[in-house]
Amino acid sequence: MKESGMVGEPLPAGAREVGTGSDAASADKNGWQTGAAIPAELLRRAAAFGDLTFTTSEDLPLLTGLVGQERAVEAVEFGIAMQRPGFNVFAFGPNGSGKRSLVQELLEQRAASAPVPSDWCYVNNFGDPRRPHCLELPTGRAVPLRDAMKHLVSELRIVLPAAFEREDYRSRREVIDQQFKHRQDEAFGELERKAEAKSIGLLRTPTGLALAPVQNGEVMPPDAFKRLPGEDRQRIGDEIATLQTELEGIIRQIPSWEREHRDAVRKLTRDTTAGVVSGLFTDIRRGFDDLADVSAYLEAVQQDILEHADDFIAPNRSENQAAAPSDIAGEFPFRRYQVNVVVDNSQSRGAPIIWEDRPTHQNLVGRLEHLARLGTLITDFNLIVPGALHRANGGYLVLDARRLLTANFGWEALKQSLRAGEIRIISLEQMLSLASTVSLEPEPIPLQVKVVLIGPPPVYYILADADPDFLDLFKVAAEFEERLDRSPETMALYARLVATSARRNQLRPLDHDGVARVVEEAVRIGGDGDKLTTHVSTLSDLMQEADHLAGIAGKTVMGASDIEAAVRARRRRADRLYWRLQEEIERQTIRIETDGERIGQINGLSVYTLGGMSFGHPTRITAQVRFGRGELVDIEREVALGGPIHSKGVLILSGFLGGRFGRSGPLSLTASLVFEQSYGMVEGDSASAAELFALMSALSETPIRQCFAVTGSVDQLGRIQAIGGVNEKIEGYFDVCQARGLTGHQGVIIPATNVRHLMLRSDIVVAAKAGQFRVIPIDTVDQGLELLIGLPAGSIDITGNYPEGTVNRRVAARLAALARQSRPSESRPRGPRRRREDERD
Amino acid sequence: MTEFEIKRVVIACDAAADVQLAAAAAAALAARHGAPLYGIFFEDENLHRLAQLEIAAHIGLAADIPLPAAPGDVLNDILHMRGGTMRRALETAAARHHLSWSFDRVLSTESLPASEGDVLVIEAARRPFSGRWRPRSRLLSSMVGNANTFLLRRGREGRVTVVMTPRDAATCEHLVSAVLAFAERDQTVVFMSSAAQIRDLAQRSAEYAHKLMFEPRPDEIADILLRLAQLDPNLLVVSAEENMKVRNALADATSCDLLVVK
Repeated sequence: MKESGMVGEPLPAGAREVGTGSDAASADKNGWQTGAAIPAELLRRAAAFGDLTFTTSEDLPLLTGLVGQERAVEAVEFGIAMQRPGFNVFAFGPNGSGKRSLVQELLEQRAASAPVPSDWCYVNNFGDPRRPHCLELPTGRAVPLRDAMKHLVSELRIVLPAAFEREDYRSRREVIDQQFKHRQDEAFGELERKAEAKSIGLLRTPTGLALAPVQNGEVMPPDAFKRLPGEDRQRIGDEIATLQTELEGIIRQIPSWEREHRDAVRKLTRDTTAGVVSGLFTDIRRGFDDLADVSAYLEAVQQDILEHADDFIAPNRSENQAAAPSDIAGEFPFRRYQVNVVVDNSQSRGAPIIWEDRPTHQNLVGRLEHLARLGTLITDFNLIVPGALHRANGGYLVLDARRLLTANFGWEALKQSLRAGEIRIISLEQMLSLASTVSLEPEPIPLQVKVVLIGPPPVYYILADADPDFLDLFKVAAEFEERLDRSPETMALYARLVATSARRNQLRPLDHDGVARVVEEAVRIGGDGDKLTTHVSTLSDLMQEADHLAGIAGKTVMGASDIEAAVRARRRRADRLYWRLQEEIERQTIRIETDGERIGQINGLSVYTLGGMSFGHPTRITAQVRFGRGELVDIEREVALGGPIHSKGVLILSGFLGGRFGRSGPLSLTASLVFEQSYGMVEGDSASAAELFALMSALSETPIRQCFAVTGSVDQLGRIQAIGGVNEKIEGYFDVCQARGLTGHQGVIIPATNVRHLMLRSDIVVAAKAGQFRVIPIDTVDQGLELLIGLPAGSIDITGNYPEGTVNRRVAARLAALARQSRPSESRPRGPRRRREDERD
Repeated sequence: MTEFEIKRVVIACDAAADVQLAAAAAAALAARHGAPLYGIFFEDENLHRLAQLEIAAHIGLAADIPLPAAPGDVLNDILHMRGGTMRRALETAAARHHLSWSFDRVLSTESLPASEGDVLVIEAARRPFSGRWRPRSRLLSSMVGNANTFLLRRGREGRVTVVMTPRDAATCEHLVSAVLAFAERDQTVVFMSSAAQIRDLAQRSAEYAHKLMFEPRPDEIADILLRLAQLDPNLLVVSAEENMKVRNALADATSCDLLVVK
């Protein structure tokens, strides 16, 4: 939980103009003045729609586009129309401000009249299968090519085997085989006959051939051979050796004979295949002869089929095919002839608009899938899966910037593609050099895409600051307004926006007061009575909740009470902690005084922001003053519970005191300030005015009326400055007072420059109208002092003194007394300085 | 049509054979006809002699260049090992079909049993057209030379058969019945010598008419081989009474299974 004085909200426009005099003049014109309670009707300005008259929202015409986003519309329109590299769009603004719907609408308008981009396919690269070719085809021609190739293969699988079954092929093949066989038979037969003439047999053995002496057709028994005379054995041995040499000569010739045989068979196969294939290809070529790349591809396919006709002839060639699902894998010998259509725009109208919700590296640039076969992962060009960039090529790609930055390498992939102007499919493993396995390197596809990023402002500014490529690639910033000016015209448009939202969401119609109440809530969410929030989705949610409640109540038309009930219900769902705090205040566990007077004590106001819910509550601030060396001790800071902005606010108080009371001498005091019963971080300077009032009370020793709570920051000149969360703070204090009983004295002192931000709850307006509660604007510290202390603040005269009976006089007197107290110590002789109690370690 | 009777299936292999093919075919045939299975390993006495002849030259054919083959003393070990391999193949094939079986080794083709009703199944490694020349095995030579019924198994798959009838018309019906006994056939082409022969056989085999096609038998061996190449059968059936020259040519020049019917 974060306790905060201002919750880090930016100062509303115009806050820097406080004290220039113009505000005071305008304040009077608007029916209020500083130092006095604001009229109740200005605490919550009712919605008025100018000349727009209607009974229910059904009477209002539908509103197209967004209200108050002219700058963003202009930027997006420019960005998507600008056809130059780097002019991509980053649309940023608060959530729910209509970025997506506007981008969608503008893109649809633009894309509808844009040409439909080409189709793209990946096909096999027969020269280097690792680098599949991409083919660009006119729109709608890719699928016919794919189907034609599929048909071709299925035709070839029927026609080619039939061609090789034909008698003419078999006859020619038989001739070739017999020639080869005859060649061998003649050579070996001649040798066999020669050996036989010398009573030597050529025998077949389990390991090859053998030459041995024979007798009556049988191998000579070893004993018989041994009994032969030595000359005969020698002769037989010599003859066997001679025959062996001849036999080896023949065997050496066999590989070349086989090669010739294979060449002859290959030529026959090629001739037979060519005769069949050329006719089929003629038909396909006719359909694509206007496309040079496709014609070249078809020529490559034809040549490959001639070289690999065996794939079509042998029926059981791919025995491993069963390992892969056939619908995914296709049949492996023929997969190389398939066409992988990665982009088919045949059904598209205009340029594509692609919203990629998971902009990871793979989802953007595509990926290579793999099939498991026999325990091995394999891939080919058929397993190239396109990414969002492929689908958006020639059109528009819309991405959520936060998701893009948090997705795996999505941002890097997008940048690389945009920089290179092409889509290169590369796996993360390859990109990060994590794997060195052989994989595909598909030919990159030229990229022409307009990217629109959508995100919150911080993402834009972080990227602009941290990534040097960002502004080169996203030159068009389309910033969406958080709020729009309140005027009769914008109020009327807003009423139509409410009606449009109700109709699009199929809600019950709203009556006039119901529409007004929704618009008032828009003002309240905007945190400025002069502004309307652009956070349309929040209002849409509110209306849907009100519709639900109206349905339970059996109503056919939603009224203000239904919207109010939805607001209350929504608040009730989220404000458990708020009421726990209020309860503790009521039980005085948290000490807050709402009547009586106290010296050095004041009710400050803080804002808690928790889970999208903001609420204010009072905090007791106290000040103590004692003799010292001009130090202002911020206890929150000392214990590291104060943020830098809060500390800055406290230090400004020193500047104010020094400027007003220390011109003629040093401030010889030490003052301490603390947020009582505050145990969390304090940030913001919206309590600095309250701290100053507590300090002045302590210095002047005059009590502060505890019926008031104060919010506002202060500058060194004593001017009160605007703060954030003014409505929540007033409501928080009002709830405390109401619980204890409204006295008519209670109220909240706010900066005059915050009056325009007022859009308080109706019950506060009612209480103010009855004189039971007050909201009082002030411009200066002195105005606040007079309200809180009940004495004139007093202006310095020409002698440099303040009039008697004024707060400033009392403060000046006290400071003078403290200064006098310090003089004796200053006149002491020089020597080692004694450590003082109030000196910090 | 008379039924072709098979009383006993004998599988005979030598050391050069791939016994798995022959064993499977023989066991299937025996199971189909309820016949016992006899395995015979033909060791070939000549190989034993060769092993002891130091003067013999051994040349391996496995590589593109001639290499020294296994020396003679290794030959005996190879023969012993191949015999064991055949026995195990036979045992496995018989067990698959729940057949009774026996196994023996012989040194001479004269010891091969061949009585009436026997079918010998021998194996010859498939001979693709690009195959190397080898001398015909003594076992095959013996089978082709004798007039017994035998199946030369080469492992060619398919369901087309060519029946080549001899000039003698009386054996035609016997051959066709043998075809039907051996396996289911999608198509059987019968080479007949005369139109009268065709008419006669067509009448006798009317119930199988849808499976039979008749065509004239070519006169010359070369024409027969060419026509066989066109038909590309997986089983060729010839009569044991066929001319020896024709039988040798069919055994050497074809690559399909060859059934010689006595």
